[in-house]
Amino acid sequence: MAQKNKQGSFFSTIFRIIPIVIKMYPLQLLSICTIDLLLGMFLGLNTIALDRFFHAIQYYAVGSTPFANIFYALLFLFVCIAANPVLNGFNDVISFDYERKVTGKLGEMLNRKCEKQDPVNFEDITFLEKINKAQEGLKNTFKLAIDILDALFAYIPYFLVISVYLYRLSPMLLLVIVLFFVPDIFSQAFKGRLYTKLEDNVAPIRRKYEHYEQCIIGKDYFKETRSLGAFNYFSNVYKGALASLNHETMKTQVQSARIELTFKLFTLSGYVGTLLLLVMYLLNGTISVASFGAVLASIDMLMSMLEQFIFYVLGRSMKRVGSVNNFLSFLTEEQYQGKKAILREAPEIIVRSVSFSYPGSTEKAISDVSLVIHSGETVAIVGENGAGKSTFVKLLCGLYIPDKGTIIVGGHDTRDIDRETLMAGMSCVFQHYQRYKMTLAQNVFISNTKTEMDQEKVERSLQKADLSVRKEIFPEGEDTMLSREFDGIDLSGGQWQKVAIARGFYRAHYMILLDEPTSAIDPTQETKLYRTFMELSKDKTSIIVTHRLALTSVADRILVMDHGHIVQEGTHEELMAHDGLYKRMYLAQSKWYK
Amino acid sequence: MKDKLGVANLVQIVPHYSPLEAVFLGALNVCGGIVPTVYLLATSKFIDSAISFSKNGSGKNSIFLFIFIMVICTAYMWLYPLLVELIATKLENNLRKSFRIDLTTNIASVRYDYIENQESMDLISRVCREPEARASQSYQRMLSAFGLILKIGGIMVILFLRVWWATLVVAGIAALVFMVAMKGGEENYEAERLAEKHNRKAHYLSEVLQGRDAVHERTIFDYSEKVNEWWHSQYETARKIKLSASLKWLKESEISGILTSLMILGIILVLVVPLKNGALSIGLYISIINSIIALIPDLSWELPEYTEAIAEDKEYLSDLSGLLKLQHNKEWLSTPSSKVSDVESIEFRNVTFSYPGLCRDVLKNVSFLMEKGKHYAIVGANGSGKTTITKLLTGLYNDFSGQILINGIPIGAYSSSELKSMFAIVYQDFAKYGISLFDNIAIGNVNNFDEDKVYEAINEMELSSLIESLPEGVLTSLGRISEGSVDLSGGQWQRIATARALVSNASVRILDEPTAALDPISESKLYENFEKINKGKTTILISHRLASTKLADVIFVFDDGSIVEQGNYEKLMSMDGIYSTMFNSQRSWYIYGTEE
Repeated sequence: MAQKNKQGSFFSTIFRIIPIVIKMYPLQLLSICTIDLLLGMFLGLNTIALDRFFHAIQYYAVGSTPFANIFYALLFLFVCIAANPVLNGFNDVISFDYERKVTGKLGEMLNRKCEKQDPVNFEDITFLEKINKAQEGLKNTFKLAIDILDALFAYIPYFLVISVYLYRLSPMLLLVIVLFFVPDIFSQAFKGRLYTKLEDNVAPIRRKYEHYEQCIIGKDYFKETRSLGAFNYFSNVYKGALASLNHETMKTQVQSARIELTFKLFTLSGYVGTLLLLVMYLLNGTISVASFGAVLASIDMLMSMLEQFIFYVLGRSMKRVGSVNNFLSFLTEEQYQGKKAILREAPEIIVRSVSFSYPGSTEKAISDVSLVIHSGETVAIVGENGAGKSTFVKLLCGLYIPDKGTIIVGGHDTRDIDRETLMAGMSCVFQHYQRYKMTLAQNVFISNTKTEMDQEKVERSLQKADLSVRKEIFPEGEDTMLSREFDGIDLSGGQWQKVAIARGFYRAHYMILLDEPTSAIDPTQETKLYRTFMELSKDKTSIIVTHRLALTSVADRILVMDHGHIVQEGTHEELMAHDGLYKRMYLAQSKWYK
Repeated sequence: MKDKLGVANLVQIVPHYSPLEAVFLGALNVCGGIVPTVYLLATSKFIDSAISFSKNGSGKNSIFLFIFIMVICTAYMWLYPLLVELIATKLENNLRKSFRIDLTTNIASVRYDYIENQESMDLISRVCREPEARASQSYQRMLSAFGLILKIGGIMVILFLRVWWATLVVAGIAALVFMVAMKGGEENYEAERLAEKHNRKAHYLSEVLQGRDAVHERTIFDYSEKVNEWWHSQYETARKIKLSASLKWLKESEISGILTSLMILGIILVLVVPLKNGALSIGLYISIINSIIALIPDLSWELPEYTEAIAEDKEYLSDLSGLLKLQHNKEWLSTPSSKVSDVESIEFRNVTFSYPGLCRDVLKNVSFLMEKGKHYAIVGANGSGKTTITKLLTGLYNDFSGQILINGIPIGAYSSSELKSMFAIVYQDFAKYGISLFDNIAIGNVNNFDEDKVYEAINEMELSSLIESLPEGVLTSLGRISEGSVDLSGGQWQRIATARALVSNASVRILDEPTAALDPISESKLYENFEKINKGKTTILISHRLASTKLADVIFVFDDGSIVEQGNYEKLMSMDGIYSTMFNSQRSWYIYGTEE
């Protein structure tokens, strides 16, 4: 069963999504189904009404019936004709709003699901693709459901009504129409597969030409491409990529046209056959002129309804099933529920032979590290780019779980705990801090949303981070929107970093992680900020990552990392006494300032 | 070029790039508009002759003629969408290799400041989103709309010939329906616009909730619940705006739906009179009614769609004409001049400059002289105007006051091509091109991909061990754009960007923060090799890491757009001014215990 769900057959997927959609807004759904049903029926009745009316008018024309007799036939016809646009109007309004409502609900489900994901998953490209596909699937879920409902409540009733009518006219007629339409189903299936293949072939080409286009006109490349005079170079590769896109598209198009033409010719011969059959019936008197007229009018409608049914309900829905399954399987993915772990004081951290590698990578980012960080200690981590400092910090706070070994924070093994509860006692300023497109106050408040926003505390945090909220820069004070996109302002890198620092301060904590917290800030201000960090990390377990070695003077202990190992530890004096990486780095940096 | 492009200009643009296909498509659509009328007439004749045949057995031959015409018409209606699809693909392909490339070339040659301006960048990204598909679709929509008009027109003409006054009634009601549809389209568009802002916010918030960027803060700060609330409120606001617009639209669409049905009822009734008095045959009567009923979906679905789409096309074309109006010059696309002229001197005389649209002067009355073969450094805090000098020297901006002289001649007298041959630049935000490693370096001298020089640069930048580790050596593509390409670390990229400048023949090298992404040990090595690598060249080093400036013959210290100090390291340190303060402050980054 589980195996089957993963693959997701057409019907099992439909049986899974229909209840979800029904449960959300049953009343609206009911009204949509009712309107659908009426639409389908009136569409079918249209042909019958025409038949009746043409009959009546034929008699009237030759004077064998008074005008009054055609009145009811005309009224019936009018109701059938008017029903379509009138019902469609309601249908549009209700179903568009319904779509937005359902999509909103589904979106909320996806948001919540993402909240519970393991952060390390986001380093995994296949997982990111999964989310991407789930987002795509979300958009398709409603559409699939509504197409199926349309099929059940509008198309099928229509086909029933029209079939009964045609069958009563001539069973042969019905048979011919149905038979000749079967191949069209296959042609749609072929076409669908062809285009999926095209999409697969084109995706890498598209990535290429989009990149080359960026190399020519993208903001990140423009200046350099112009001053190198490299326009022609990129223009040529760009043209090449576009040409191969053209080639692929044309190839598929020709193939698809060839297949479709074959099937269409077949269907066309069915159409012509139906027409000839009708003519024959008319000439030999099986059907009346009125019925002939009515069938002729509805045959186009029938054909286009059949085609829509095949193309949309079957073709499009089949295409969507895969994508909807991605969404469903993402929602039902298992998630770990751990024990509560609440910090009540600055925690001690015990690291026991920990190794860690990123998903999809065989290289160990952290390899066999053991260490104890005491309660209330301030530890600085230094090392070259790529030494594993940031990864180590993320392991220490429980964001990542070690592959091997254990990390115990305040007595709780990070592997067994409910992350949320442990993190309630931690704060951080990361190297890749977020620039939220929200107001200044929200940017700070976001670190502690469990209680109402404390205006005063926001102000204090900003002050501590040395960010002055002056009117010239922040026209609306703390309520200034920090994004040009949403009619707000842009901040410089240094200002943003201070916002991130204020955010870290705003959150109550027993333990704080500072990963290169001042890389974009001027040196004079940097020293000042480090003093503030010191003040704030008193009695708290603090971990600071920095590449400016002199700033490690604020730490009780310095850890030197290299290739995932801790290669040295101690105070500055202790480390300088040995010929190690620390001393080499230190001398390389300091000799230019002697 | 006219000031503003209208929808009608599509009729010029598309055929200009793909004349054959454009005309062919036009012809197909015109036929598509006419065929239904022919079909109508054939059917009516057929029914009439069938009736007379069953009555008195005459006219059998003409029956087959009419059936034949009906079949041909049906076949055409059935098959022509297929042909349209095929030709439209060809058309789009043609547009892709001509129109799209023309657009890209056009943008590549705009004045540089547009690229740094958010507004014009937004405009560019709007216009460049699959422009060939947009143009082709709009063109086809116009043709289909024209086909629809022909289709309606055909029926009207037949009606007019029989009962002229009925046509006027129909035309009146049709005009009314069309107006209602137009108005509804506009209102919808307006609501869309209003809701768009909230949608964008909701979209951003869901990125915060689902994306990779925010995952660490999201987990530690545990804000998903609150942000989900914010997301929900933005989403709902957008939904309600759209709902209220569509409720308004509902009334109008119901009215126009009933009007259309009434119109059909009217025609049916009106035609009864000529039918009764024999002016109209039963065959024609049935055929006309059938054709009109077949028009319902066109009128109630296609027409409103066209009006909405045309409103969008209008918007696009006004964007397009906005784009074409941006000042541009094809000369800026030139390759560096192949005859390299040595730069003997660069002189700034009282240069004052401010970025377009900003009133603050970035450079204030700056004067300096640089001579061949010397090393210069420009230092100063962020935003003090250091990088601007590069942009002026390379001609990216030329709206300055004062004079910039190269070899004593004003910079304006040099062609873009000549200026490019004089300077090799390592930008602070250097480009990470998704091409092979070899090309990434060789492109520093586009006129001549000299293998020896590239390998020399690879050695100088110590890239050999990196290359050995790559799957296809120097031919490995970099970045993430194709399968088998490898993305590099910031430090590795920076070395490649520097190597790019080394292969250039230019006599002046400008290095803007060339060590920002390097770790301390590599940084130190680069300084050590600086002299050797740059032998015989004039260099301008821009940096806020002052250690690197020790190597310079002359250091210019910028503050708030002016040169406040200049001289070599010893001189500046003895002055006890800005430079020495900054140097000592930076020393505290690197030398333990100096901060106190």
